[in-house]
Amino acid sequence: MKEILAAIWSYRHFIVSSIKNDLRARFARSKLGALWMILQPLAQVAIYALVMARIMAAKLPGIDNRYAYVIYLMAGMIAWSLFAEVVTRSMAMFVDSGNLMKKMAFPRVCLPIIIGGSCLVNNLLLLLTAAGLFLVLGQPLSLAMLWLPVLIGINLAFALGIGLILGVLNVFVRDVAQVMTVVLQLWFWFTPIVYMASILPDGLRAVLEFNPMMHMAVAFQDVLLYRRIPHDILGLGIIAVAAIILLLFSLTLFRRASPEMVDVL
Amino acid sequence: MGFSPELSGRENVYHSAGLMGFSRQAIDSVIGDIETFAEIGEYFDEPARTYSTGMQMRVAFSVATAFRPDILIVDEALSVGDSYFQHKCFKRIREFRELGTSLLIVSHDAGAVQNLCDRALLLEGGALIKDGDPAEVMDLYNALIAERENSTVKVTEHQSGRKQTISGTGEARVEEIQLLNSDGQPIEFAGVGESVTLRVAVATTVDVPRLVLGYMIKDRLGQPVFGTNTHFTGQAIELVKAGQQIEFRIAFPMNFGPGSYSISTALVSTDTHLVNNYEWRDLALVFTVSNMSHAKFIGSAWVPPDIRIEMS
Repeated sequence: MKEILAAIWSYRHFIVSSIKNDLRARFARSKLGALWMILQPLAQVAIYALVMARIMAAKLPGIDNRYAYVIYLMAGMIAWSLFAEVVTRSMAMFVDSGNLMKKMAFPRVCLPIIIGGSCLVNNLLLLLTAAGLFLVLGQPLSLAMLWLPVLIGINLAFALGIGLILGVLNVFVRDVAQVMTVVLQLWFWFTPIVYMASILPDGLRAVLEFNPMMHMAVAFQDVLLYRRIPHDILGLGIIAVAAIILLLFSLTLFRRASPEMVDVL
Repeated sequence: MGFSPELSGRENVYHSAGLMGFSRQAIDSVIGDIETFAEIGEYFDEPARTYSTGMQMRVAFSVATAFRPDILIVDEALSVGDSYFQHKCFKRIREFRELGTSLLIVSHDAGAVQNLCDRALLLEGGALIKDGDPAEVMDLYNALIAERENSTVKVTEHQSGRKQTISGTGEARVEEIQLLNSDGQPIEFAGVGESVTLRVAVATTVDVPRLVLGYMIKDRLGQPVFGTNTHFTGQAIELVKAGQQIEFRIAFPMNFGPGSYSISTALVSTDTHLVNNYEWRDLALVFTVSNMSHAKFIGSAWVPPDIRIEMS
């Protein structure tokens, strides 16, 4: 563990410049450039809002804002987009940088960190945009937002843990990435982002309790929409512990599999 | 090395050097050298997608060698560069070698191997087939690329202590080879500029449709100094009967610098030994050139100078 941290520290410049390059390369030569990073999730929110607003608006009691559903959507999307982006990109990470891993000797642990960092920047930009949008929609900011760094931290760690495990598996069985694309879709709809948990029948809602992303989305909605401290601290704590266990496990798996990975790539 | 096409050469340099574990300050201190060494001018700040392969290679080599490594591995990459840049690369590699860098070079370029290496390994089909002095290994490589059915490759100890490689299918072979002075006496030592004659006696064992004799004079390191063949000179012999004795006499001035030289002979049917290789004989003859009558000079060629100095 100590040498991992030392390696990360000595490669900190590389990690920072890789994150910068990653963001730049993705939007190079597009007219709107980095704006696309936030335009895409915003467009998605707009679509859902357009389609669902009428049906869903009535289900958000106690909020005195006609745009409550849009805010609800944004909150869930901010939680989900970080998770989904990190998982998707870490899944493909080793396959994508196969050439690099074969040719260069560098601490491999830099790769997930670069991905985490790049996704985090994305997410923060989205969050900033959302905050601006909330002000425009008449939703004032609140002190509860101080919880956001904690929530984002847990969300990122949890996503990286899962992503890293899937990334290692995907090197050996490429079907993993294919299956996960479908699973992530399902998972999205099994998380109360577009809808509220309250509209589900009791039986299904009990099952929903086992979805960690439900607790994550609800926490974001608490903070951003209801402007209160996350009420489900226990759920968050469980995800945090799970995230740490997943991260430790994935790092061990990663270290064990590293030599063989390079052979398969 | 994997350059990102959207980033400029400079940014790619920072990225690649960072990947090699160098800190930003360390890269800052050599970025100027890298830019100067790559010599791609203003393109250094253009996106890498606008680069030609040669330009990419220039930048890549400049980064890879910006800091003197303990071990430098060059895998055939130098073949991409233009010859001007190749010379620069070789110069830098040689400097590194003198400073103690171990060099591992993977190449089909015989010249580069003989020039840079102390030891050569010849690999075929994933197996090591020869490990030794570069000149010997290159001789064997040369024989192997012409290897055919019924063809043999024989490596024996030459009287000079070096390994001699004789290969070929054996339809014709060199029976005797001598270096003669102007009196017709066989010699092993020759003076710079002396007129000599190379006598090669060849015999055939079967009918040969076309016979060409090639010879190559190589220096101590096995680098070719001069070579030609009777195909190039328009003197190929057509339809040679079995059992024919042929004598070639090749007269030339010994315009070589002082040192030890060897002659390789080839009996082939065209201008290359890759079509029919009747016999290829390395180290067929070894001789020494010494400077007895001219002013001191260095190098492997004797180019008689006529220096005039005017002072006013």
